[in-house]
Amino acid sequence: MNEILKAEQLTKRYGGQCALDHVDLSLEKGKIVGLLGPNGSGKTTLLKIIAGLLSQSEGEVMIDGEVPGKNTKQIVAYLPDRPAFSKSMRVRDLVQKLNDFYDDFDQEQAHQLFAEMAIDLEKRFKELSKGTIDKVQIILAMSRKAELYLLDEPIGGVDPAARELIIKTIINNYNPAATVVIATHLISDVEPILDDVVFLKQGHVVLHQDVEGLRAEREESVDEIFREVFSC
Amino acid sequence: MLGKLIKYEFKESWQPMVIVFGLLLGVALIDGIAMRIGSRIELFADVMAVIFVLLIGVAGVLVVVWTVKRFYDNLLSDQGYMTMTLPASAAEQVGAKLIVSLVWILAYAAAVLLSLGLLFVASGGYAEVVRQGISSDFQQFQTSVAQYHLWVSFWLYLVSAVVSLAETILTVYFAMAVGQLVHRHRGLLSVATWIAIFVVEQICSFRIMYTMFGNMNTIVSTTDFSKVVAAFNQFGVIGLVITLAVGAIWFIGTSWILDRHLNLE
Repeated sequence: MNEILKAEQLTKRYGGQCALDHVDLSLEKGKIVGLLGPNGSGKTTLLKIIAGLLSQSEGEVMIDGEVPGKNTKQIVAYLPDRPAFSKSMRVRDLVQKLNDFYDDFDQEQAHQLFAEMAIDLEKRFKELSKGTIDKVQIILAMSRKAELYLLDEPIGGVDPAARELIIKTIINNYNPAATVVIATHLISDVEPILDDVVFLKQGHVVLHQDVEGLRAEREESVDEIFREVFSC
Repeated sequence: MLGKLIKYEFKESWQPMVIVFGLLLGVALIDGIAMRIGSRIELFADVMAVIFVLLIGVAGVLVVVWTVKRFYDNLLSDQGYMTMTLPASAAEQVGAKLIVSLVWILAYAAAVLLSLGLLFVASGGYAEVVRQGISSDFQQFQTSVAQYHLWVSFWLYLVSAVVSLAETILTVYFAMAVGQLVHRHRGLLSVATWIAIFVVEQICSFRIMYTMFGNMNTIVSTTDFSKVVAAFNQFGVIGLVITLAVGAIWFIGTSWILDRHLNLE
């Protein structure tokens, strides 16, 4: 089975509002997929359902043939769009914790990346800037040899120089046999590394295609196509 | 995985507990020494005694609030984005939180007893007891305990108290799990759920106790103390089984909600 993720008629409602509306999506192994859409399009909702942090209202999602649960969490690396730990914790404590829980966590790689980014492991998170916290989270996610990476806005809150560094970190450290899903609205920064794109608009998948084919067909960059599709 | 969750739960929650317990013991020691010194610093000893009593109450509240806050912060708030993506089942997560909460609350009880003992020793009370010797009343009490196997009753009701504590903690967890099912007014729904559970449990408890004590009257009238103890133990076992069953319901319910209907927003 070459399919790592399959969503069928996936729907999530918050009261009267539909965040995901009968989404059908299938992702192959070994691809870097851009999950693209403006704010409020359903990107975070979709990733959270896959990660097991939200329950869907209808439909189903399968990761490598299993519903989200204890087994899928072993093979999924999730990067949330916010800090997900106690501010009083030290960086090294979190590294140690993840190393303890995940068989695929590469502690040596994590330490190497922290050294490259000049991040002091002895610092508590409340002593770090937002940008540095974002870098810590991305390092921790990419230090796993997961089969599916779910990165929610990995470059959303950092400066352009840091964005380049983070994208380089993603490319140089992920498991090449894995699938990486990058949810973002900063298309131009991630376009060069994408294999496939999924456009999400108001909870619907409006486009799912490989990047090369899309560019050849439309003779435009993905960024330009995105602006056309989501023009106000 | 449960072992790892328990290990990290202790690692991440011990500091406030140690501070609170340390304060209790410290204040008890200071108060005891002040009492031993006597009339010269009587006012200081009285003030410390008041502080000690207040501290017992405040510490108890802090311990309970801390354990409840740990569950909410770690599983249902932003920290849940990491905790709930760890490769552990919801039952393991709830189980780890419950076990550590129980340990901290029992540690609080032990700290209170220890601080009372420290106060007793530091004030010279223990030395006075040793000087006067063990009274004949206490010796008769010890004989009765052995004759009627009252240690069985003691351990039965101690275990029941711990199980009852666990069940109470689980009602709070369950109420919080129910609260997170909705999009808005989560806190309100959690509180309403807990109140509803509390009211229903109290009504059921009164009905059961009324029936049990009705039977007890018949047995007490026989004036055979061994039959009274046997009935007392029987009621204890029934109570324990019921509490275990109800606690299991809240545990399974909480785990099921967090497993199938988690809504981290």
